[in-house]
This record gives sequence, C-alpha cells and structure tokens, in this order.
Amino acid sequence: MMLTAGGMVLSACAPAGQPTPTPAPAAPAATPTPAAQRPAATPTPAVQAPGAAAAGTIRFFARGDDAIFKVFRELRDAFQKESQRIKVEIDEVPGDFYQKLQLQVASGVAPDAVFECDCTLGTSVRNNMVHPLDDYLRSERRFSINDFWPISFYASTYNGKRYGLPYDGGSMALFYNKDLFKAAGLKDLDPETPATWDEILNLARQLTLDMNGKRPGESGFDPRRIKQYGLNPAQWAFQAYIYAWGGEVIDEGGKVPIDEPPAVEGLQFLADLGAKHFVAPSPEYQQSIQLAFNTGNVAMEYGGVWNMVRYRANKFEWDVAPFPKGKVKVSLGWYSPLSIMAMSQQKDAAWEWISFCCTEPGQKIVSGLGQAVPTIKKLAQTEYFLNPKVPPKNKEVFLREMDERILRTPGDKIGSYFGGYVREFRQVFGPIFDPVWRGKKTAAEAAKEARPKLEHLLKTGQVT
Amino acid sequence: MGTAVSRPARRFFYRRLGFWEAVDGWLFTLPAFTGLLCFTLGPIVASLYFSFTEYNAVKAPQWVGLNNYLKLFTGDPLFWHSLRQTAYYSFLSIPLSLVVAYLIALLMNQPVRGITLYRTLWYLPALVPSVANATLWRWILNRDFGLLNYPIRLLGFDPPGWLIEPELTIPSLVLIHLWGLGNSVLILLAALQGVPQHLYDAAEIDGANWWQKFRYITLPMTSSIIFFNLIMGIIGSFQVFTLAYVIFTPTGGTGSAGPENAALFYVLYLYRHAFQYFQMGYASAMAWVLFLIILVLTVLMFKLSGRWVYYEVSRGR
Repeated sequence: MMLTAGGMVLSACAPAGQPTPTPAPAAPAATPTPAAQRPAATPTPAVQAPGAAAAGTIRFFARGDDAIFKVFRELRDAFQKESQRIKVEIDEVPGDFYQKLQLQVASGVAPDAVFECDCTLGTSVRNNMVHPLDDYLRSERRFSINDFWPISFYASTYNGKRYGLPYDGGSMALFYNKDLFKAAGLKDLDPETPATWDEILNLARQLTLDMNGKRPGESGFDPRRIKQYGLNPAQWAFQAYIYAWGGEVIDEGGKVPIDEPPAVEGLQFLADLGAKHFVAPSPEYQQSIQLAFNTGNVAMEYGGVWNMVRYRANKFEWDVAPFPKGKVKVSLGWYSPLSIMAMSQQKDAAWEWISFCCTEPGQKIVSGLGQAVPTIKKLAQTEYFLNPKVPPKNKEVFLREMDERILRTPGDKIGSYFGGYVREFRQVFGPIFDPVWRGKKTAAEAAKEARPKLEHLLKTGQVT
Repeated sequence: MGTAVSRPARRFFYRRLGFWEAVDGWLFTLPAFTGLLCFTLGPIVASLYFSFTEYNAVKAPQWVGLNNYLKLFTGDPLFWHSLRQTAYYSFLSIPLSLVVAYLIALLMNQPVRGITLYRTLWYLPALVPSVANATLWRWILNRDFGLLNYPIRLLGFDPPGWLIEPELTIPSLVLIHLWGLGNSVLILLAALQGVPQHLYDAAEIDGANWWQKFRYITLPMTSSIIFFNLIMGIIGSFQVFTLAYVIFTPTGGTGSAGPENAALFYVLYLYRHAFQYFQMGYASAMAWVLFLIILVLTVLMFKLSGRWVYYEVSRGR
C-alpha cells in the first residue's frame, strides 16, 4: 500500500514535463536529425572534439556500485577536459536503480542519459522512456556502426531500432584460480582450445574439498561441509548450457523449446554439477556469499569480462579460459548500453556524452579498467584492453569468445534480447527451476512446466 | 481568578483563550496535516483512480474500468499465491509475536538486579537496520555453516535448509521477525508497569496466587495494549516486504522471491508490477485489495475486542 502510495506522491505533486536543470540556450531542440545542426566534421574518427554543437548541463543516471561509478568519474573527467560546453553531472544510484529512474520519469525530472541494464531496457522501450538512436548513428561522422562488434547491439535492439550504445560488457569465460590449481597439482587450462565438460567436471571434482579435505567420490566426503568448491557454473547463465548441448532458448517463431532433449540435457547437466556431483554451490544464492571466486575458495567460475574490474583486487593468481565445449562450442555475451531518455531536452548533448563513453576515447578507459571488451573492434587488440601489466594473462580468450559464429544470446533469433522480457523471463523460469537445482525435480519436468508459461510471456508480456 | 473579575469578563477571557489555543493547536498540526493531505491522502485517492486504469507512470493513464480487478481475481494465479503466502506468514507471525513479546515483557518487568541492562539487550535487535538484519540472518540460517544449524548438527540431526526449502521459508522469516520485537516489548512493558500496585495488594490480601493475579489483574489491565499490538501486527505483517526482498535478492541476479516463490509476499508481487513491469494501474488495484483486506480484518478485530479488551477509563457516552 505505502509503496504504491509513495510512487504516486511524486507523480501527483511534481510538475509534469519539467525541463532539466540548466537548459542550454545554444542547444537545438530535440530534433530527429541532429546532425543537420552539427557542422560537418572531419571524416577521421575521434578527432572532432565532443560537444562541438551541443551545450549545456546534462544529468547522467548511473546505476551500479563503487567500481562502476569510479569508471564513470574517470570518463567524466576525461570528457570534461575535451568539452567545455557540455557539463556532465553524474547521479550515482547504487542498488535497485530502476525504481528511482521510473520515479524520476514520472515526476518530470528524468535524467538526460542513463546507464541502462540489459535486464530493463526492454521495459524502458515498451514504456517510451528511451530514445532510438538510429538517426544519430546514421549521421555520425566520427565513427560508424561498423566499428562496433556486430553482437554488441544484441541487448539494445528492439523491433529493429537501437535504443542504446553498447557500453559495458562483452563475452563471458571461465575464470580460474591458478593458486588452487597449483595446490591441487593441476595444470593451467588451455587458453585456446576449449576443454570438454567432462574434463572440467573431472577437474572440479579434484578441486572440491570438504572440511576434512575429502573430495567428492571419496569415502566420508560430506557434501554439506564444503570449504572449497571446484566450480561456480553460474546458474543464472543457464542459457549457455542449453546452447552448449545443442538446444535453443528462443527460436525464430518465438517458441521456447527448452523441453526438447538437447536443452533438457544441458540444464540437467548444470543441475547435476551441484545436486549430484557436489562440485558446485547449490542452490547458488544460498552459498554465494561466503564461497565465491574472489574470496579464493571457488576454483573455477563462469563469469563475464566485467568481473575483471573487481577481480583485479584479488590476492591470488587467476586467469581465464574459454567456456567449455558441450555438444557444440558456444559462448555467451552482451553489452549493457548507455541510452538517451526520451524526455530529455538535451538529446544532442547527451549523445555527445554517451558516444564519448562508448567509442574510442571512452572505451580506452573502460576496457583499460577491466570493465568490458572494448565495444570498438579495432581497440580490442590494443594495449588498453590487453595491458600485460594487469591480470588475467590470457585476455584474448574474451576476444575469441566474441566470435559471432559461436556467441549466442537468448532472443538473438527474434531480434530482441529475451524477447524484451529479461526480468520477467527469469522470474518465471527461476521458481520453476529452484527444485531442479536442489535435485528435487528433473530438468525435463521443470522445462515442460516452464515452456508454456515462457511462451505465454513472450506472446502477451504477462507473467501469469 | 479572584472574585474581583466579573463573571462575563471571565467567560470572555476563557473563550478568547480557548480560541487562541485552538489556533495554536491548528498551527502546530498544520505541517503534519499538510503532509498527510499532500503525501498520503492525495496519493491514496490518486491510486484509487489509477486502479481503474492502465498506467505505466510515463504515459497518461487509460481508463479500463474493472479490468485490473477482474484480472486479479480471475486470471492471476500468482496473486492468489502471494496472498496465500502472506496470510500464512501473518497468521503464524501475529499470534507468535504477541505471545513472545508479552512473555519477554513479563520477564523484563521482574524486579531483579541489572534489569535495565537486560531491557537494553532485548531492545537492541530492534535497532538493527533491516538490511543488516536480513544479511545477518541469511548467515545464521545458512544450511551448511549457519549458527542455528550448528547445534542441530551436533545433536545428530540432519540440519534443515531454512532458506532453501520452500516449506521452511515462511517459518524462517517468522523466526527472523520474532528477533526484532523490541518495540512491541517496550510498549507492553510500559503497559505492565502501568498496572496499579494497589490492585495486586488487594488481591494478595484476598489470597490470590500468581496465576490469579496474572489472569484477573495483569491480563485485563494490559488488554488494550495487547489489542493495539494486535492491530499493528495485522497491518504490519500483511505488508511484509523488506525482509524477503533483501534476503532473496542474489547479488548477480534479477531478484528472486525465495525458493519456488515461497516468499513472494503480496507487497513484493505488487512491487514487481509497479516498479519492474511498469503496471502502476494493476499495482494500485492490488494495493486497494490489500487495503480492504487489512480494513476488514481490523474492523473484525475491533468488533471482537468488546469481548476481551478492557479499558480502565470508560469511553464517553
């Protein structure tokens, strides 16, 4: 009751459509073709100073945590050096950002640009909160859409329109703790040829230890008293396992054939890692606090490139290897975008800021700090991302996993990430699969139950 | 007032005084009253309107009549599920909270040395911020390493997965709630201390034992405060949110509501509609249904209260 009431407060009492704090006198009103106002720039990319045409103060809504905010502060400082006319104010919002964004929009004090999430962008698009960027992209002279990885727009494209510039993300890979490998007398993983899942399971068995130092399969092993797990397979990335076993998450027709044998097999394998082989924390959320890769008691973890920005503080040696091969070799990856709010009165200025962050000048900083595979392809092989002074050693793994022939993401066949319902998809899938991770139900049963509900969701947008 | 002042003058003086006192009173309450009007009553009325619309907080609301309510009752299994889980939580936690808080208050009312220290200790958990509280209990209730399961394991039992098994989720959350009862205890303790000593003295002269004193003096004399706690308990527990929200939001995921949605409380589900799915109209309808449920329960309790609640000061006729 109070929640909704609280939500209504702002919408009821605040003036609607209030412009952003400092309207720019020089900035043209938001027009669909902004480049018309912009002087023809030099054709060489990234030479023209940002903010050549637009001016004013823009408010940028940043979600995330300290690690992410730190990157944005550096970006702002760099941007501010080049651009005197546009001033960027960062609104740092830790935790559940979406509620705050929604309230700002409802109260008429929407920010100009936002660090969107792959998990919410679909909702924002459906509710006309974000502005399509195709016109900007078409008329932009400093860079072209072909400079980006083809897959980088996966999570920001809806109904054929691009609602954000890829900012933070890239591919996922298998992180592993070299110290734990050494202690177990195991060789480092091959950075080039992906291991098979059998090999990884075998390694995970040797790297899982209970409080008495016993391993799974040994007599007296207590699966309830684990002090070190061999593998965190990332149950939230279940889709990777469906693809790796040759299954499909969302097909061309919007069907969700996760109950077909290949998909079921992949999901069952994922569940068995915890529930049957005891090499993985299961269920994940219960154990994830005290047993984690960065606390040094999980030997391998399937995780995104963005984890590097935090893992660089780790006190042990670590590296990355490709996602193991199931029936086929696949990889997973996407980018969370920076978007321009539809209500912004300063879209041109906002474009200057987000395009700074998402292209060469900004991505040198972002990828250098380890938050992403640079969105711009030609930066990938440079020292910004591949800086040999910071771990992991084999960062090229992430680049190989970016290969569009193997990289998949749910909804890529219908042109929108999870069909536009990322959170909803998880909220339907999650509760049905909870007993599977606990070993109380088979993946086949759960998938059969989940399929019609997920298809209903994609068709109607309703969770029930 | 001396006799020197005439009667009408005195009356006039008091009337004036009364008037200015009233003005002062209104002025003092004005900020709170304005706040109530603008930030509580206004939104409440607005939400009633929104509940008959399709509204995403961005575009203007569209009138859809009773559709939201119809869908709630006929086309939304999760609505019923969340209502069921919330009712389960409430009917478990409200009586337990009352009994436990009352027992603690009785203990804290004993004239023993260092009682103020004990009272402080009992109250401390109520000061723990809810997020810290949730995090702490996630550790205590951890199946494999939790503080609670440690003795259970030592005794040779199979330690349960408190927050993993759907059947145990609600009882676990009630347990956590019982830990933070400090405020109720404080109110009940004040009530216990307000029971006049002469009643006990009189009972003792009549030869009453401890049970009779408790049953015929303590309990009736504190019944109005028990009733207050009951009403607050109903209102609070049907709106339970933070606990489940914090405990079951894994760091990397998009938010869970406990194993198999066991902790998908009513307000949590409402929150999803309002702030994740952008269905403000639907969420408003949910809020009004919840309001009516709480209202009916509260009215029912007031109706029943005549049978067991004793007010020392009789209410004016």
